[in-house]
Amino acid sequence: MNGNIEITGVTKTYGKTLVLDDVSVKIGPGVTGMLGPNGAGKTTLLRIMATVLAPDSGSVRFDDTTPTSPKALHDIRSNLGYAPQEPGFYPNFTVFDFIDYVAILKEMDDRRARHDEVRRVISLVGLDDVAHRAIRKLSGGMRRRTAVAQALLGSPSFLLLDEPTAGLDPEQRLRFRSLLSQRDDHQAVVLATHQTEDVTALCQNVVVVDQGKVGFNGTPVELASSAEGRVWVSKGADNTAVLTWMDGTGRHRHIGNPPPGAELVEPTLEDGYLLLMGRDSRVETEAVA
Amino acid sequence: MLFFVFVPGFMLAALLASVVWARRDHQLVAPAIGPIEVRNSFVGEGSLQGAAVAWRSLWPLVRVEAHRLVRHPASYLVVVPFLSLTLSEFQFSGIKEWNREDVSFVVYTAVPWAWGTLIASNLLTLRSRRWRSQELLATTPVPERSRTIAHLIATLAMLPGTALLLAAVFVAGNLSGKTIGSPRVTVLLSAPLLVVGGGCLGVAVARWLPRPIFGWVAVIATSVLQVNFYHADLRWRWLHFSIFSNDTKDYPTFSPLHHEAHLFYLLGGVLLVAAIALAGNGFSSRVVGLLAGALGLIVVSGFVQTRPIGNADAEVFAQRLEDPSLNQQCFERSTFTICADPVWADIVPHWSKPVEGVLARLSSQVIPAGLVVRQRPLIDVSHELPTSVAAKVDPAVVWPNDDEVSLSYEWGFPAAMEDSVAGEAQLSLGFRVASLVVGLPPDAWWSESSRGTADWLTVRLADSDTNQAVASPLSQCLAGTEGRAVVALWLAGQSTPAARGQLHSRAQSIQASKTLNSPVSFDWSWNYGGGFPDVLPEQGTVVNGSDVVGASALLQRDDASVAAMFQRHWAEIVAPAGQPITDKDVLGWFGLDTKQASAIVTKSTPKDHESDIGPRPAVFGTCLT
Repeated sequence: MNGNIEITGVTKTYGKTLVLDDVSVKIGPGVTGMLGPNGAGKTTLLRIMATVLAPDSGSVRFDDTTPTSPKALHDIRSNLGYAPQEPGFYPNFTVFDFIDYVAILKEMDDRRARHDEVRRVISLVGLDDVAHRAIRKLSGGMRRRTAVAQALLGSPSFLLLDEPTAGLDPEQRLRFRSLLSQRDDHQAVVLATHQTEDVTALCQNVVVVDQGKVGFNGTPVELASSAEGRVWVSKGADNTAVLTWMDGTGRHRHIGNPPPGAELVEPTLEDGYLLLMGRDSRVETEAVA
Repeated sequence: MLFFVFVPGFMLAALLASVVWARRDHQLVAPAIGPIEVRNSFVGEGSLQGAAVAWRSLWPLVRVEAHRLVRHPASYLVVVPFLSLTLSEFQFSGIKEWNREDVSFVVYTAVPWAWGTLIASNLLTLRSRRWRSQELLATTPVPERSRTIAHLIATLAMLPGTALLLAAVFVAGNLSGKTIGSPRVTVLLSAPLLVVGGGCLGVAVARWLPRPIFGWVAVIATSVLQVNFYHADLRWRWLHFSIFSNDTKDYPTFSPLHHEAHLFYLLGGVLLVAAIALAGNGFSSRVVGLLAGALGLIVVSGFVQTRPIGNADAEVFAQRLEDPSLNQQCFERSTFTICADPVWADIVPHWSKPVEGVLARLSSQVIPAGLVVRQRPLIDVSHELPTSVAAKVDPAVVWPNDDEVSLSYEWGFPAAMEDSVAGEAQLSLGFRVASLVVGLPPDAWWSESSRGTADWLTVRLADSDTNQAVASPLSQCLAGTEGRAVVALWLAGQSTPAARGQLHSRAQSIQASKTLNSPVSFDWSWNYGGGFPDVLPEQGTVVNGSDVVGASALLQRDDASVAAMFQRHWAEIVAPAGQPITDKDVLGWFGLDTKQASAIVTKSTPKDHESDIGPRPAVFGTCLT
């Protein structure tokens, strides 16, 4: 498969709650970051892409295949790697056993080849030393890497990662970025995250989901550019800004319509994202801080 | 008492331990994320069920699940208390006859193992739900339906453990030296079906009632069903999981009903719960076919087990009862032949001991030519005989007044053991062989011929005007105070050490209870008969207490000299002209009278066991001469 996901008019409700509202987005090979506040619908959209949930309306196409028949589902899932926020580990399994179990569920029949693949992904996430340790004895970061490792099995065409760097220390986060940078060209990687740094560092595309809709779909540079001429710094707070906070230098950074004579600075992806989310500035300010 | 305290206590402790164990890792349960978790299911999306995978892809999963199932502690926790109690049975209780108690061994080993397998397979099937990994697993190509199949097939991994358990019980029993015979293959084969059925039930419960507590509920439900089916009317007893209902009271080796059908019933049950488990992932034509096939198998096997005996089968049944030689294996000895059902073949050498002991004291000229010791089926109140069969049976043919020594199918196993029970059995058999030699009837017999009606099974009670099963109206020979009775008793007493001890014990009890003039018969009917005041064929000829005392006194003398004396007087013993010689005559040959004999018995070494010598109701027939 070529790593193309096309989402068209997807709507999903839970009871009376509209979670996704006519979402359409195309995702191609490369790393796509999915940003959005809590409750925006990122996880639901990811679950629909992972064929865990069926949309109420709309469709999802994986290259030329839509998950409308058992056979098609089988084919799609055979090319899918998914790391949910919480995989639900079996505490008595070792890291190796758990990933081997998932490998079996991915129809890796040949025992020797499967074990080689399991060792490969364990090595990729740097868990060689604890491969035969029970999962219950792992730290939170190690478990997260275990979750990522199982998703990497078989180098799937579609790799969906929900908050993959949450709980990782800086070194591991860099390692993770290095790992994703070694992906195959045909792979479509979707990264649902709150970490704008990860998106900046890794993603060729970014999709911002807010209140069940796609608020932005473009490159990180385009998202950052959306704040061009709207980010400035000053010594004091400026109440006219949509968002304002004090940075590490002791100066205040503002996003919004700059006052006359303001010192404009180069916007970042985070600035663009925050400007997009600016309507709920207090919450987002707290989240970023 | 131990059973009802120890086993539930142990299982409760195991349950609490498993809860504590599970709670320890509770922090690893994936937290609820979003409103979808309210449903707690990622497989409810029927449209997202993937295609079943090929068998080739299923085997690795089966291997993993089998490995997990075998290593799961639940099976061992459940089976340990039952197994320890079973093994202690060998240490602290009496004789175990494998080919009659094999059902019990299956119940006490394979059934707990099956319960443990039920719990283990239930928890393993619920694993993804318990740790909330359904979301991840739902994205893999192997759908839940295929995982269900893997769990079902994985239960077969418990079969080696089943075989080991049964083997362990068998070896322990044999090492205890208190077992006889061999278990029946058809009964043992029920064990693997029970274990696999337990495992499949665990999977089915997990798919339909996905909470671990329901696994334990299933254990309790199956045990309740077990108990109720066992006590149910015979028509429904075949539904019992672990027994061959027809074997419990009827005639396993005579009935033409196919007991093997119970195995097909169990197989049908296994397939049924497997189909129910698969239906938990949705109905398909294959699942419906499996359900229908399983139900059909249960119905057909149930009918085969419980169908009314047809006329032809009843003929066969009756013929086998009247002529047990049709289904027997005979073992030729130098001076006699012993015939038994092939199942009892292992016990024949033990039966032979008292027979050989009696005949070894006799010259070949006085041993009846073609002496046969033969197993015969009991037909009495404790046995359920279909009336259609009873109408074709003449009880006088089943228990005839002939010159064969008969052993009922209830008899014999303690004869293998050198203990007090063996003494009673050996004395009984030895006495009946000796009775035949001296011209007394070896067995009690059915004196009234009856064919074409089943009335002989019951008697009408005057007070309630209802028919009720009664003890068999067997006739016995009363040979009290006859000299040949003393001779027969002496021959029996000297046949084996256990028989000698038993005769002494009897004599001392008679002395102590001052029942020298009361009738005495030799049997151990307290061991069966359901407490009915029944005369049993094995009781043979009835003697007087004084005869027992006299024989016991002679046993204090040198056996060879006593035997020589009897040889000299043999013609008088076996061919009394007019007035038969009396016990006083026999004692007189040794210069003894009854009083002196009593004194000898009183002074002899007391034995450490009591015996039942109570007078019995009896119909006395003509003694042979």
